[in-house]
Amino acid sequence: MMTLKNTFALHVASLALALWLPTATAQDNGESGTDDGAVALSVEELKKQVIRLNRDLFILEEDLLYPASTQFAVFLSLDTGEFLKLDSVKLKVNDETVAAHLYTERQARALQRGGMQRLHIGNLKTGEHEVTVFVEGIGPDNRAYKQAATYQLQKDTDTAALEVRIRDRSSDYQPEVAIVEWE
Amino acid sequence: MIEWLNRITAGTPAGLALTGALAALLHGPMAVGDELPQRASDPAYGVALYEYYQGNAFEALTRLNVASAEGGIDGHGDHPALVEGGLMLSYGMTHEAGALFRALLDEDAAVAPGTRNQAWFYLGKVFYLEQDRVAARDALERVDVDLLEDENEALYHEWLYLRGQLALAGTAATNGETVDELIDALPESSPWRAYLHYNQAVGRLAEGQTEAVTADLSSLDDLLDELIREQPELEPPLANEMSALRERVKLSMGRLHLSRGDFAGAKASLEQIVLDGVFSDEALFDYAVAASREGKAGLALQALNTLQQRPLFTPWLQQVPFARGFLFEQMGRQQQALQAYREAASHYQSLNTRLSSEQEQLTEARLVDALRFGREGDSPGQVGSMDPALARPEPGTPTVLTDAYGRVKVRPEDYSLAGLLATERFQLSLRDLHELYRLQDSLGQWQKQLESFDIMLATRAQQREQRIRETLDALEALNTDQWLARQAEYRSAIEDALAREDLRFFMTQEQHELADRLAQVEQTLSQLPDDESTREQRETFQRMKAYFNWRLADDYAVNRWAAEKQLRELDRAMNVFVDQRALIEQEMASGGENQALAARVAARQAALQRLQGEVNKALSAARTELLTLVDTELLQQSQEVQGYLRATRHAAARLADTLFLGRNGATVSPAPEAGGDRD
Repeated sequence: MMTLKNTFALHVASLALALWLPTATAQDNGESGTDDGAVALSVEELKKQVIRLNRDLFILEEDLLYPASTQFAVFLSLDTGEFLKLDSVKLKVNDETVAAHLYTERQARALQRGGMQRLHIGNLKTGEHEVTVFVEGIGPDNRAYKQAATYQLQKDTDTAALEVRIRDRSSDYQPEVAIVEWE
Repeated sequence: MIEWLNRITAGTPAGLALTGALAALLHGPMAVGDELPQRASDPAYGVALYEYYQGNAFEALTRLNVASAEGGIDGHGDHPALVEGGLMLSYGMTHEAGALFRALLDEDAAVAPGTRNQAWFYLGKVFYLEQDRVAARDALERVDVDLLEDENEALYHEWLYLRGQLALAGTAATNGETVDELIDALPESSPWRAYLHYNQAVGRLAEGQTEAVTADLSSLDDLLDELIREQPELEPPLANEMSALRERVKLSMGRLHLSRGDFAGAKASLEQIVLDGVFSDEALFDYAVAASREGKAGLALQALNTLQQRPLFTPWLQQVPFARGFLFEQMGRQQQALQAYREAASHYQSLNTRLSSEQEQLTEARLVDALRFGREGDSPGQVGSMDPALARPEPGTPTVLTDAYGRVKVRPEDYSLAGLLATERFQLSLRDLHELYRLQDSLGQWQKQLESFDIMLATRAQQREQRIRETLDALEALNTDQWLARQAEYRSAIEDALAREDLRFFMTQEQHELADRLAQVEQTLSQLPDDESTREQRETFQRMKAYFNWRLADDYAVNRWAAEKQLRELDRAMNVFVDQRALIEQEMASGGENQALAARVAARQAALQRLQGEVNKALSAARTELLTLVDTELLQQSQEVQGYLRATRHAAARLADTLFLGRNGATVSPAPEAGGDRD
């Protein structure tokens, strides 16, 4: 770093060279190695433990709140989303709204790239249930798009998982909404 | 963040290294998924990808861990492991990522060739980030280049870039491949090419190859112009990076001309830098230097005046007030020079006071106030303000933006920290502090969650107690013991009858009725005179009785079997009943599933408390380190400003003396060419 031992004129003469040279920044980086490494390692170990704890809590929560015999989950995927800019989704089970979601651009992009959202997790007793999803967004030609799909779910004593699959239909260049069951 | 690093470390080898590393960070981890999209064959993996693509590394890692604990991910081969490694890199878990990639490369591991190939690439990248250049080169050289190029072109380009960076840092490829060859292998539209090319130019400059550097920078400038002009579809972050690099190239060209005494050339390059860009301050200052050296003091003053009207971002820009006075003096405008020196002295005085005060009152809260954190939803290039009441980097919320390696996207609110903020050490400390706050906040949330689990389990236990009481009452109402006694009596009676071969005991209901009627008849006959009048009846009775006894003997086996069958059925029913009662009693005595869940909750609570203690300790260490860095920086700046203050006061006094002597007819001494008389 220049100091005012130099005048502006002196600075002029040496400026171009001085600014190309390694300065305190480079030294800082070098000196910080040991301490930073120790702190970083400690933080990394903590992160590892926290992830494990979060995993355990996640599983515990599911066991506690959604036992396998009654568990019912709904996922949502978007493939590939060229014909639909996803805005919102609403999910009804037996005519009761159980989930609704408004998508940020980042979430919609994550879905487009192959991600799958867990839209809902809950409990259902055995028997027949009607699952309906309402999808809204901007479709081809910038037109508002709205579509619903329904699925009759026969719930037994195993975990039930459905996927709301939004696909591009190349035959008529329209999006298509379907509900499929994961075995 | 990169703009600020560029601003401070422009053109230095340190800056070069940072640029390279940061460029890698910007694009690195996401490359794992670049070959996607593909439909997830397992919802657990799909959900992890959903978090991953949103940049939520922690959530994505948790999902992958959950999937792993619940039996793994189906249908995606080893790809999830690569994703997990990329996520670990994103989450600053470099060592863990390295271990995972090494595990994938284990000879005994059944890993697909493509995955193994990418694992070599990522392991090389881990070594590169850890600055183990030889190991990085060796790992990168294990990559099957053709396979990588076929499977993932983006990774292949990054591979070329990393090898180029290593070669520039003095770790050349063992096959003698030059940086020029690596640059040529990159497509002209690739940002990696631009970065590598620029870094090569800076390296050459350090070696004194100024002619080659001029040509390099010139061609790079043309390339970037073309790239930005012809590819308007570039994603905003990348487009911003390329624009910033172009500005930086122009700044470097200007400085190169300056160092060679080509002031007109320097001005021509610097003039092309936009006035509101990230390098405009440096460009203006360099322009003032060039114009001054060219003898065009007016132009130099104009540039300095423009700078003077802006916040004086960095410590080195604090030269501007003094430089203005000096320029006025050079131009022979001594009154204005004196005024400028006095204003500069006043500025340095107040700055010095402020820095001292900041140093004295330095706390974490004040430090946070001095920073502006990038947040989700900010427009590109903008950063959001932070609620001062929070006094810390919004722990636990994903809204504070971080780069691909967890570094917080932040700009200085208080520009005295700009220089410090640009250093890697400060950035890493800030990242650690931010991460630790997030961890602390997460732990706090989980604490609440576990408490709610506790309440749920306690409620369930109460409900269970209630049900147990009801069940006990119901069992009592059944008079169980009485039923058991009667069963025993029945069994005993049957066994006795069997032993005695008591035909009558096993009679059917009908036979009992017949026997009763026969007994009645016999009794009636016994009351009648035994003569001719009753003889016929007595003979009939004897025949009937004989027939009855014969039937009884004949039916004995059937009747006995029927009784034994009933006994067996009763035994079976009673056994079921007894078993169920035992089960209920056992269930009532034990805690059941509830107790197992409560044990799990208690175990997690203990783990959580232990982690909270460790996080608090780490937080304290990170906080101390950060504040020490700021304190040192402020001290250094304070010393520099005091130097400026002394020099400015000295110059003002000298000039005042000169003017006074001039008014009194004494000889006026010329302004100094160089400051050998200062300090």
